[in-house]
Amino acid sequence: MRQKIPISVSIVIGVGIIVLLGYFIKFPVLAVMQQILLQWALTLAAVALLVGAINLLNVHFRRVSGRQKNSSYSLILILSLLFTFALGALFGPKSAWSLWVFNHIQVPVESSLMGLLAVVLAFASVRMLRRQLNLFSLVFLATALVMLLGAAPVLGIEIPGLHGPDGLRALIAQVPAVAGARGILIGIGLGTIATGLRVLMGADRPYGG
Amino acid sequence: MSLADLSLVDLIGALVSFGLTLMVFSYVFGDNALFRLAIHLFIGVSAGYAAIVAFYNVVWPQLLIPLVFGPQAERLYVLVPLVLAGLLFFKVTPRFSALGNPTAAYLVGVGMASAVGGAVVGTIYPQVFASANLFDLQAAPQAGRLLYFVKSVAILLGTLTTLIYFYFGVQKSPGGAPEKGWIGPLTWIGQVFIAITFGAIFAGVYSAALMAFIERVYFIGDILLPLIFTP
Amino acid sequence: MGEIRCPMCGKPNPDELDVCQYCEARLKPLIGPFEPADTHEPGEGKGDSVTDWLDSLREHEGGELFEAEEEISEGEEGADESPEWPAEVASEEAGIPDWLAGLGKSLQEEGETLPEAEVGAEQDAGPFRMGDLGEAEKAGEEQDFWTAIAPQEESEPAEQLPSSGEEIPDWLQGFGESEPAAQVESDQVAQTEPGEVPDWLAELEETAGLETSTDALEVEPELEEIDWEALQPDQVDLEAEQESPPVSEDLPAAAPFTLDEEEAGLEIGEMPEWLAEVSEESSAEEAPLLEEVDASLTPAELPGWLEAMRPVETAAPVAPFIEESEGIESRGPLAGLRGVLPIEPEITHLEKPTAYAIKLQISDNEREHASLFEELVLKEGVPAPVEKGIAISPQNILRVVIFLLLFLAVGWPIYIGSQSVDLPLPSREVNQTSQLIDSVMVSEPVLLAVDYEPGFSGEMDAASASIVDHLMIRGAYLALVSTTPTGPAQAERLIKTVNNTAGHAYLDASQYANFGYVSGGPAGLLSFAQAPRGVIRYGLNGEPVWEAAPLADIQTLADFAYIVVITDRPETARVWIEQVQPTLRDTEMILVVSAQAEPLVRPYYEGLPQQVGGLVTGVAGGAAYENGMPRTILARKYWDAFSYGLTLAVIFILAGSIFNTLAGILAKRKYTFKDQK
Repeated sequence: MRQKIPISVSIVIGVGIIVLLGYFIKFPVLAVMQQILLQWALTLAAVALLVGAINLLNVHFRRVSGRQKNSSYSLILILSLLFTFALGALFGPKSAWSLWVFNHIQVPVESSLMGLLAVVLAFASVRMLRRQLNLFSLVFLATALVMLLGAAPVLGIEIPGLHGPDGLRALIAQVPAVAGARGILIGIGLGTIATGLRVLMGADRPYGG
Repeated sequence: MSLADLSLVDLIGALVSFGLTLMVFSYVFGDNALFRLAIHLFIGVSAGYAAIVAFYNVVWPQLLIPLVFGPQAERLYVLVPLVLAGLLFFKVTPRFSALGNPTAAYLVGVGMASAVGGAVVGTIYPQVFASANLFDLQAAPQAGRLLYFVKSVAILLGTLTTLIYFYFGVQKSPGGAPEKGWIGPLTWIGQVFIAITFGAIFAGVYSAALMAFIERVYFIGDILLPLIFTP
Repeated sequence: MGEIRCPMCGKPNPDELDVCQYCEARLKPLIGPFEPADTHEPGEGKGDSVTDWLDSLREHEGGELFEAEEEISEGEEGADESPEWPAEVASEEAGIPDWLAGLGKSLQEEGETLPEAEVGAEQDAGPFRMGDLGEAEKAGEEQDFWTAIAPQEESEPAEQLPSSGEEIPDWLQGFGESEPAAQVESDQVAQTEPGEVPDWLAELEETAGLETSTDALEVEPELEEIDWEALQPDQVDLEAEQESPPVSEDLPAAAPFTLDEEEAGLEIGEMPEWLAEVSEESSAEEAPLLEEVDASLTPAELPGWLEAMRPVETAAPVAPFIEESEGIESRGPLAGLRGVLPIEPEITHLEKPTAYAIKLQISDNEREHASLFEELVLKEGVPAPVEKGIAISPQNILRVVIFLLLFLAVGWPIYIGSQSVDLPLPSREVNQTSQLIDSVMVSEPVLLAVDYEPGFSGEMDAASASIVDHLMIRGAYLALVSTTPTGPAQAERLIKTVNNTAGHAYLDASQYANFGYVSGGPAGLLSFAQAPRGVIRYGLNGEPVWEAAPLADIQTLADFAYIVVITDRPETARVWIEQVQPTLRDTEMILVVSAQAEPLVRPYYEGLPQQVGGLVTGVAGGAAYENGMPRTILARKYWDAFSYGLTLAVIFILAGSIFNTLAGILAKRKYTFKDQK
């Protein structure tokens, strides 16, 4: 029985096979085709970023025109986006004006948000054991404490056996943490292969096909 | 840093940064309008800057310059990405969103193939090889071979039990009965190694966040202290 | 043209018809006097109580009856309307039922006559199909049969018909006990002598609601005077019958042929009062309903039967009409009898269909429940007003306290300018990194991938500043690239920071080049690794970057001296390792990662063969790297604050864990104690 394969699925399978084979088969023609497809994908990824910015503008513009709640914040977002884009378009993204906006607006706000995370994490870790008290949470907590204490001297004092290249912190980082991380990495790799092959065979269609 | 050493533009920038930092830190006392204002401003600036970098650095030189100034061959070369890029813009409209599916499919196909190839070539093969090479005695230091061997056993055990937990232990419900037989104790050991790894990750996350906090506090100090202690 | 009145429906028909044009009943009997299936000759079957008396009546009056038939036939000659069947009947020597014969005998004895002709008629037409007797035909008037054969109204109830030595059948005796029903008055009822009506006949008359007349029972005068048309059953209006309610339960169980005294005065065709009242009520009910329906629309002309089926909005629950099987038959030869099967098929009985209301009939209790349910459903869509909690909750206070303590812990070293905490000793991986960078020659191109977010600037600047300083000290040509859109700006910021803090003067184009942004994630990196010139055509500001001398020989990333990746995320580091590292031949890759990425990146460094040649993690790694450098950049500046901040965080976690654990244990004990109680 003939089954219609959508165009999108055909594209996925076609380009996916060429790119994937280029990893394992060293063939000049295949390498050239792979390179062409990769460069086109690189360009289209940048276009996708532009589409995302346009969509963001669209969403917030609708909020402003619809006079929804908190639409004034959306107006600020729209104005700041357009202003930054215009500045970069006129003077270049490496210009002093663009870098001024980047250095004095984006960096401070994002750094402050990360700094808030320290307060929130401390608050959360204070209440950590209230939720769940079992062996694994105790191991988790103990490891975190050892790693934190071993990262820097405690009140300026280095504890022998904890700090230093041969200390407990280094040992935990080099042996059990590596073991667990290696298992996680291999697991991630296997999962990536499974998911990727499903998409390349057309079983999963996250692109709306 | 001294405020007096700053130019007017930099002084204004410093004051803007200072104000925004305080506005974000006001979240400690609860959600408020100043915090939201700062966040929306930040989102707009970051999206705008990302868009201009993408256009300036990729779209303009890769797509438009060859189309406008390039030779015939180069124009033909960019015809396909140009058409696909045009179709991708239809994703903005819900009505004609389906027209952008071929381009999305192209991106997904290339991305997935790259991910699969990289996982095989860059992670699975080398890491499995590394696990096997743990017992390469030639690589072991002369002194402390026993310790090296013990470490290697521990690393191998941890790697295997972690994988066993992911593929046999996680399938069960979180609070369900443990696996019977020899799989059960192994998944339990794997959970211990995973707990240690996540504990290390948590410590690293807190360290990074604390450093960001310290950097901001330093910045505030750089602004305020000269004002307080100006001779 | 003469008319024959149908014995079944009572409607007039032309006399030439044999069957009624309305109900298709026979107008003229096919055979002579009525005989049952096992009929016998007159005089026979004297053991049969039903027919014996009728036969005996015939024996007595046989001649007279035939004479009457002759007279009838004579009368028929002069009148078109005269039925033919009496002559047919008369010509036949069909036996008449005994009971009818006996009836004639008794009538004769009582002065009543019974025309045998009609008795011997067909069952369906019946002997009751009196047809047009001479006088009635002339008169052209209807005459009720019963009035023709029954005594006068005022006459005393006749005695029971004495049988010819036989006892009166029980079923016939029962007739006399019934109460009178409808009463019909006939103008030309053949009168009998008062007091001459037999009792049983009087009772029957009461039941049938017919006025009896003894005169009708006389044979000879009856035959002349009886207007056979008039003797037809009452011509009841069909519609009236349809609208009439079911037969009243008060109807007598027996005794047809009796009249209700109150209704004795009714004319033929005139509806009794009770029937008229019911029809008025039903029409009154329908009228307002019809008016409501027709208020908005032009009423369509619906046939009556359809109109009757119209559902109504409200209607009292009506029990479905149950035809009284015990009702008194009002027409036909069995008129007056109770519990007989209907002669007419039920389909011809057009009754008003039961009215079903289209509006749901619900009780008050059900209405109340429905309104409660509706209220519940509506409430679900409306968010209940949430009581605003206390603005200052213990959690808020704790968070503010933590913030203030942290601020003090890290701010105090800043305020006092403390740099007393010792920098950590370089670890194995830091030493290895330092050794690698030490091998960089002047103007050797080193690819510096700045792939961290602005939020991690504090940590990553502190971790990488010393390495960049080291590269600058070595005189390497730095090629800056990034896979994040903010990376190029971050790279510029990093160069500027190192320049400012370390006193370098790395200027654009001659000492470093900013390649800008490489999009596409893994695909873009692979393409960049295989053909960097194809991916990066111009620099961040559009300047031609590949024209710089150190980059002249660069065809792939493997042509760079080192690849230094500075990133905050383990995923970015993994992508660089997976996509770029396999393409590097002898070029080493050095990673400068955040502390949060270290656990997932270290396996690449610890494995054999190493995929990563050097690893510097977080502020501690940067501080350790600075410890081996001739000058300190940023890590030294933050190290004291970092040490105090980390200590305070550990104190928070320990204190909170101990407190919550104890609180949990105490709460559990309390709970268990309460359960035991």
